[in-house]
Amino acid sequence: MRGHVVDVHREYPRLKQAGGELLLVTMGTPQQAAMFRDKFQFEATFLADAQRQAYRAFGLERGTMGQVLGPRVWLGLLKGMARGGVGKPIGDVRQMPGAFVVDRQGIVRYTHYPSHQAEAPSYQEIVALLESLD
Amino acid sequence: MSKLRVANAAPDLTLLDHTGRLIRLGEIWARQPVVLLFLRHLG
Repeated sequence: MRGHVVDVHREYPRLKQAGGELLLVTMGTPQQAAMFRDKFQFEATFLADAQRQAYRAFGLERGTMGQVLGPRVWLGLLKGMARGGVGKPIGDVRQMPGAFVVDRQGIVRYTHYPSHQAEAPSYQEIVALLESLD
Repeated sequence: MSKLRVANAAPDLTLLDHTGRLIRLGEIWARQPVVLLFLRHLG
């Protein structure tokens, strides 16, 4: 998981410069989200969705064993360990991640439903999209 | 549970932020486009 956070931390200035407001949705409590945010010295807003209502509303499912424990996930996990370390999990370990861009009219402009948990969204595509929005 | 598609209306939910403050998503995206990144488990 931390590999994803390291990635988005790196991309945050570009997202911001392109006019996007980054919101990171977590399955933790506000306190857990705050601790995580502090640990990574993140400026963006973290949201606490311990009941996973937002995950469900955005159509993000619990993954299959292959999506959660498959070799691609292990590879991603190893990369993440190298970059940011791995800690005790908080939240449903089978919950699939995802990414969305919503425009000022509340319309979905980008979706990313990964095929496995370690698959990251295309920040290049997201930045280009943000630059095209008013 | 159905997946969202491009051009769908986004669900406008209210969630707590990391400070314990209630945040309505619609109020944020009314100001500027929002990138919502749903993380898998913390840690």
